[in-house]
Amino acid sequence: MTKFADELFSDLMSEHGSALATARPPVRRAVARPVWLAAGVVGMAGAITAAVTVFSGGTPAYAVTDNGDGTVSISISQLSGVDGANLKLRSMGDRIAVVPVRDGCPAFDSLPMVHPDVPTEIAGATVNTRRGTITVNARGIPKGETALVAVLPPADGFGLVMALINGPAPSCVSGISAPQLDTTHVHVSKIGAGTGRTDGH
Amino acid sequence: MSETVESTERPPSPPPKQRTGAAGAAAAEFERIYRAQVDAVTAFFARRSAEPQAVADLTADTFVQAITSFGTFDPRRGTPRAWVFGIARRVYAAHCDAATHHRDRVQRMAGRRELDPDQFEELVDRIDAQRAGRDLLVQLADLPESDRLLVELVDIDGLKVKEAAVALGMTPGAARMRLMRARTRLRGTETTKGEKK
Repeated sequence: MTKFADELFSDLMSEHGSALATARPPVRRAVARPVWLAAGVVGMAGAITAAVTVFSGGTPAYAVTDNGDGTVSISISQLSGVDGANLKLRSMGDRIAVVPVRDGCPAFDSLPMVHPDVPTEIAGATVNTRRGTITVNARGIPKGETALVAVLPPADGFGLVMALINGPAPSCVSGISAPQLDTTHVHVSKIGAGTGRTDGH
Repeated sequence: MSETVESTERPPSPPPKQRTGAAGAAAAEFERIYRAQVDAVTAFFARRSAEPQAVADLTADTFVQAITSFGTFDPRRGTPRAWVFGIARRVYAAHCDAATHHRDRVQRMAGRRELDPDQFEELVDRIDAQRAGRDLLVQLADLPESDRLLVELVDIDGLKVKEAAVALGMTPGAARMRLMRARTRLRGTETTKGEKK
């Protein structure tokens, strides 16, 4: 720090430090898993995430929804849904790839990310905390780039992590774990379908 | 004849007192936040004023308000960075309001901090370093104030959109929409300028 900053801090503590005597330390947000949905920006450059509860019985392995406005919403609730989601995305002509997270695969951080500093601006991507989906502006993905959606294994809660990368996506990635997910926790009762055309299996 | 030279050096700060309990944890957390944000806050004001004393006073006011209201900071409502920039924005608004109404000075909680030559130089350097940022603020002058601040916080200060939204008291969705609109408008302005050249 600069001398100015150092001395300002000394002054603050000597003149107003008593205010801290009655202040309780801010309570940091606790991570609760795996039964919660977490959404928002994570501490991973260039990525946004949605971690979703694993549901059993009756829940589709994946859902791909064409929202009719150029955006596509994706939710994956079982690893077995990855292939189906990719087939559907390819048939729709979208440059979006869903890949599982597995050891021994290329590290997520090593991928050639397009916008490492502006995760919320990635291809107009948004996370729907209530539905547990990542929505991508498929029409907004520039030629030669791919929206990669990585699917975390369900050991610590299910999760989706998205980044926009240059070139094609690898078949799988590694180096992402649930503790990296940020912690805006909202309970969800279902992974819903969008208002447009939805394919889920 | 002897010559007396007054040193502008302050005596070194005393070693930090042992901090224990909740108060100690609060002090440690405040220090962590201060050290992480003070440079960015100083730069925020250095883009708005070329006067080192004003930059020093506004920065001091921001952190006086931060330390005296630290008990109300709730991380569930936003990051420390968003909280501190929210305070900085209000401090600057009060400063402008006072100037508009020709008040001699904003009623300060900190009081004016006298700068020694070293600190003055540091702040002059900081102000010089923000020249490009000040130029950008001029380019943003046609935008509504909230949009201008949004672009500045996200594109210059590096806040996430969600953090900037908290600092400006708007929803993240509204912030994204405003940011997109502002950038589109700026791109249009640049295109128009380019065509005129």
